[in-house]
Amino acid sequence: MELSAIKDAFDRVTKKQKLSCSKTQEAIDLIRQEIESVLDTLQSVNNTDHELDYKTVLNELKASLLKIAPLSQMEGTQKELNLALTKYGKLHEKHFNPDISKAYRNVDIDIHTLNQIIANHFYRQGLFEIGDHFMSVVGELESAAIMKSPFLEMYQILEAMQNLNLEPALNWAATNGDKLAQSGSDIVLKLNSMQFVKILQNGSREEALHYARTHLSPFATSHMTDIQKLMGCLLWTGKLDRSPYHALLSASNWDKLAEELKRQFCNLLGQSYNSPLSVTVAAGVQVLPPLLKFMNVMAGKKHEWQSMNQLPVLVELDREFQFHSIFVCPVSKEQATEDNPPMLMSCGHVLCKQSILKMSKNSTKMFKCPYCPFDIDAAQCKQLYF
Amino acid sequence: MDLDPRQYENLAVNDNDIHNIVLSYLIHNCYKESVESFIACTGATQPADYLEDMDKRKRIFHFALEGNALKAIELTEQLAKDILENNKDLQFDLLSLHFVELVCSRKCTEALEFAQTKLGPFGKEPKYMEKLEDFMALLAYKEPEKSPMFHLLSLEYRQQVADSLNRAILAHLNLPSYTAMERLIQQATVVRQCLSQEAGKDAPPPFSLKDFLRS
Repeated sequence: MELSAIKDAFDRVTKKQKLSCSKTQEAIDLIRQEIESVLDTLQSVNNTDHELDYKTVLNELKASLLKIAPLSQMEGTQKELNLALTKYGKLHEKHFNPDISKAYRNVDIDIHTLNQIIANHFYRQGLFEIGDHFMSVVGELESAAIMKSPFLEMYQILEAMQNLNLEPALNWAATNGDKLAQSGSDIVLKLNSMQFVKILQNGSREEALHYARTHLSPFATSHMTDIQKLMGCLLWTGKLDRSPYHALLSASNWDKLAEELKRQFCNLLGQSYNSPLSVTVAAGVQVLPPLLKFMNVMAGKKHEWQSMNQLPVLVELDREFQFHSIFVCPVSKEQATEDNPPMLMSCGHVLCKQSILKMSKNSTKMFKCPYCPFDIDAAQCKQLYF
Repeated sequence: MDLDPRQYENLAVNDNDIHNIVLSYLIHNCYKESVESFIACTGATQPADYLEDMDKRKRIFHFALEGNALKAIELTEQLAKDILENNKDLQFDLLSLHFVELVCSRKCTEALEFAQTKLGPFGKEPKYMEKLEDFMALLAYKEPEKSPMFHLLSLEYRQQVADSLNRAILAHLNLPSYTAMERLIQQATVVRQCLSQEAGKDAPPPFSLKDFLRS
């Protein structure tokens, strides 16, 4: 979305508005000066014995006001302001089109699943009351408790961490140690390291040493560098803030650890770190503008879009929305689908199933790989799963 | 094919020179009894203070080798007051030997106390940080001998520190830090390598001290 164009238009409006305002103020000041001057004249005459022709004075005032011509001065700048405002409005409509119906197709959505996704989002954000209220409104309160309980535990741990209490997190890590190790996570070490640093900072050297030998030694071989640094901290008990290891005391370490815990917690639940709802909305925000643009261009071909298997335009999504690879067959130049999956040939090259069937005359004869001199037997090709 | 003996067999070598080379090696390594026997047999003369210093050096060397670094430090300071003050690296190595000894004796609290008071000040200099972390990591293990830093507990490491200390004392006493024997072997090896490279394909095989000693 070209927000810079909107910003420029907005800046033009504010500029014109300021100009109009200052011009109006100038005109008002001039009028005030003329009137005050006449009032002064009248006042001074009243204080003397001179007679004054009021009509003449007022006519002179009228003439000088006509000379100033405040209305014509203000009209010009006001016109410019109105023009800029109109342009801004049009640009706004163009970029922030509220009607997105052109860019989506009507799909039968299972309302129950949708409710679950929304409730899941509330619970994983820690908005338990809203989640419960939502589930009761949609009449699915019985499934709410099951969905909510793991996230309740997670937020209790995170809340304790906010209060610099790692006990609940350490208990959770100890309970799930094996699963965490299997998934290649080092959060158990990170939690124990943080606890060790906390003990050290409180100035208890012997307690820190005992803690290290009990909880850090299992990692001494696999994470030797980390352990060396942590053990080096023992030399600076109670004065870590003045040591070469002062970075370990940074408050941001707690935030990072909380994020990591959240990630690993969701991972153990078999869920993604970000809620499906937030991912969908964020991806949708990126995808909608090019789709809307495309649909405006292809306004007359609505039915074609409704029946397409894939998006009609290339949409660039950020890395965080790329969950799996896509494969485009080098022979047919088409993207692989469930019906036409990528197939690994015996030589190690990959083509789509339909291309292989075509080249092997429906698996009746051998064919040459288009990339190397190998003769390929279609029957020996294996389906690839990305 | 080795060097042709005819190229060097007529080169006269003074017996006194050989005696001095052997003697310097024995003195360097504090082989006191051997020195006395050698002098008695060959009639070579050496100043008396050499023997006195050698006795002290021998004790220092053995204390360091046994891991009794505090005793080694004490005797070193008696022999040469400012030697450790001017050599921070050596001071660190000796103190760390004592730390290792405490760790090996499972006196962890004492080791930690010692590390904080004596080794801690070295932590202000980045060059000691890495070494310090290695030593401190030993405390994380219930059996430091099985740790990845086990080499710090080895005789080889103590030998290395003891050698460094011995060389430092010798230098302080205005004696060569390296024996004439070592230097001659090093130089001979380099010369033979250079000759070998210059001679190209007609060169004798690369010089091997082991093979030379066998021949």
